Amino acid sequence: MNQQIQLILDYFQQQEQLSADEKNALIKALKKVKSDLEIAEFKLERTEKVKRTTAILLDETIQELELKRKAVEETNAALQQSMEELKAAQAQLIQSEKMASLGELTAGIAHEIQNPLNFVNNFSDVTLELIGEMVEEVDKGNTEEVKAIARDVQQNMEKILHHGKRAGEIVKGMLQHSRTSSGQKELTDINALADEYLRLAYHGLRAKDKAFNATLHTEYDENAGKVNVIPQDIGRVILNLITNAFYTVNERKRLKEEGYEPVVTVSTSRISDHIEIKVKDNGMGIPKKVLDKIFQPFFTTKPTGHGTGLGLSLSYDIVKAHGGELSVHSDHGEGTVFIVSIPTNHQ
Amino acid sequence: MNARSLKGNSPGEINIALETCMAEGFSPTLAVVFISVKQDRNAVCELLTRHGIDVFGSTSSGEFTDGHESTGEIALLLLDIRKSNYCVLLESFDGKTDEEAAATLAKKALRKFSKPAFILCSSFFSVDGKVVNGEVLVRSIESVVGPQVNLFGGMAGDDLSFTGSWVFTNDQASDYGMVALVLNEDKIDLQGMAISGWKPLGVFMTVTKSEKNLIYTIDDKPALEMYLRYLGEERAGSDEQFDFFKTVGGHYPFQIEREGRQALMCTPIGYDKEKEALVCEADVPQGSRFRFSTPPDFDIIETVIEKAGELKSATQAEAEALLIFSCAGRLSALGPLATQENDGLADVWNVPMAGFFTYGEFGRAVNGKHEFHSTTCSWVALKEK
Repeated sequence: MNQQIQLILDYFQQQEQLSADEKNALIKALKKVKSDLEIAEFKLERTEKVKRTTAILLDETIQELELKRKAVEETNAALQQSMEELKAAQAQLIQSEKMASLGELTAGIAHEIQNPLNFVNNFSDVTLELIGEMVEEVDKGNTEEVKAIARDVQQNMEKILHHGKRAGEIVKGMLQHSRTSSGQKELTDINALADEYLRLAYHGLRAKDKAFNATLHTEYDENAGKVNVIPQDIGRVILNLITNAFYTVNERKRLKEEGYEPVVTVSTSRISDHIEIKVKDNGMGIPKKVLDKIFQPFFTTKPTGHGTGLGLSLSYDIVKAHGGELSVHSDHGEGTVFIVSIPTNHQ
Repeated sequence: MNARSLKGNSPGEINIALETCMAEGFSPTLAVVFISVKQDRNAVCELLTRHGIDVFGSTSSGEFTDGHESTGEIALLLLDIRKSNYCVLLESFDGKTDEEAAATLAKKALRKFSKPAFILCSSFFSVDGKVVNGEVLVRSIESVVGPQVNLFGGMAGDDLSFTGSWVFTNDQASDYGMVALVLNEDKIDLQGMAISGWKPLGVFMTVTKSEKNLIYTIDDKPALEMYLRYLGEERAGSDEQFDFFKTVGGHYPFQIEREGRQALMCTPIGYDKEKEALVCEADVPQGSRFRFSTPPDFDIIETVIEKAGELKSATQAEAEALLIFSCAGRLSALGPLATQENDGLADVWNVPMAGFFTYGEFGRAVNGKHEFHSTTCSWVALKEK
């Protein structure tokens, strides 16, 4: 085509009857046609080429993506497997933590069971003696006296039954604590729950460390009432916070500061649609640099073998699962207060 | 400032054109010379020196003036700019890093002018194969002069032979150096921009093994084989006549990810068959993430010209001369449209123009700062205040 244009150009150049202006105008027009044609040819060729190359590039990209998709799928499957293994390991760790806290409770529970057992033993002894007396009165034919002794025996047996049941409740509670949470919420007396775990924790620590002593303050809000919670879970949180408080006041006491008196305060209060349980100590306090980390799993400031580093992490998760907040305020060297805040209307 | 553009296919032709315009009363002080490696640079420099004209020169991969484009020839832009408003500096990279050389050049410029602007041409590929890192040059000059520095230019070409490109002045030349036309920005107004138009395509890939400007593996697969396969040119490996740059490299550069900044275009300029590696126009660090890119649509020409018009209107700037640094890949991908682009820019400013097809460009990105680019058309209009 361009050769033909060249031919026409040459022809015009040779035409003597055309004026210079006419020649120039024709040559200019032809050159424009030539340039436009060249551009059109180029565009056509490049469009074809780019179309073909882009198609191949996209095809290769799709194939590559397909390979990557398969690789991602395989990685996902492996990840899923790892997740399941991790979950199993976590479950084991949580169970270990529960058993560890159960260990902390054991001495306290033993102390708690000892009281009803003493009642059972004493009343059994007395009842045995009464039955001996009753047999004697039967032999004498003293019916009225037999009846009176039988009433005493009945009362004693009721007391034995009551304290037997109390011991049974304590054992049940212990089993509940170690068992995987049923996830079943029930209306729970928060003051009673806090008090029960305070006593268990205190007697538990005293049983292990006779030298341990601390002033326990309780400030229970009479209006705290019952809240819909999973009692063994919230109990575990309270126990953990109190155990930590005892640990830190005990540590500070070891420093033999003059005039230092360890004090742990457990308080409850109902604020609007929330219930707050505060565990306050005047122990060592938490340094600022570790304050952000204390709710992280496996973080512990306790020496090796003294803590799993899961207690506060699990507590945090439990409170969150109740729609609440677990917060901490601490001044290093002054003490710490943990606040469990649970909504009363959480389903 | 007056300007004239000249073209010629030999020093003799240039001499005639120069004497003609000087006979018309034009007395240039400075010549911007874009010249093919096939031409006799020394002869051109000698004749310009003879006429007392300072030389700022670079070899080209095709050169053009307003209304004329050539390969293997010579293009000149002659300026009668006041000597007190500019200086020409040449700095070699020999014995120092790219960064050190650029910093030295920038410090010299700062000693000359408190607000220097740069028209920079750097060699690209030394005769013994050393590659200059344009990105480092920009960052280094910027670190000395400040982030607002005006910097335009291009990397010297060698007619796509990739055997070595040169920069030169009247009496100095280097295949491993840079030459700067340093302008006193208090006296010279510069307006310009760089536009690419290449579009990213496909997914991000990672350079998993590289050494300087050689890429060995991409996503752990042999780079050369992968690049050619992706572009449907597997046959290239066994075809001795295969023109890598013109067929694929110049059309399909990589867009290398840069954090918080425009992607860096990087053109594969060839391949090392023995090492099964891609040879790129710049160093590509291992771990770089990139995407393939496809050539611009044809309307990029209108976009470049429109943006120039918009800038001219917005700044109400005037110009007396125009320099264009257009990527060699543009000529390959846009063919005759690249000529239209250059002529269109010259029409916008309606002043004498010269330029060349480069191996990398310096210039201000649209709405951005000065960067080292590839695949762009970078232009700068000059006016003496």
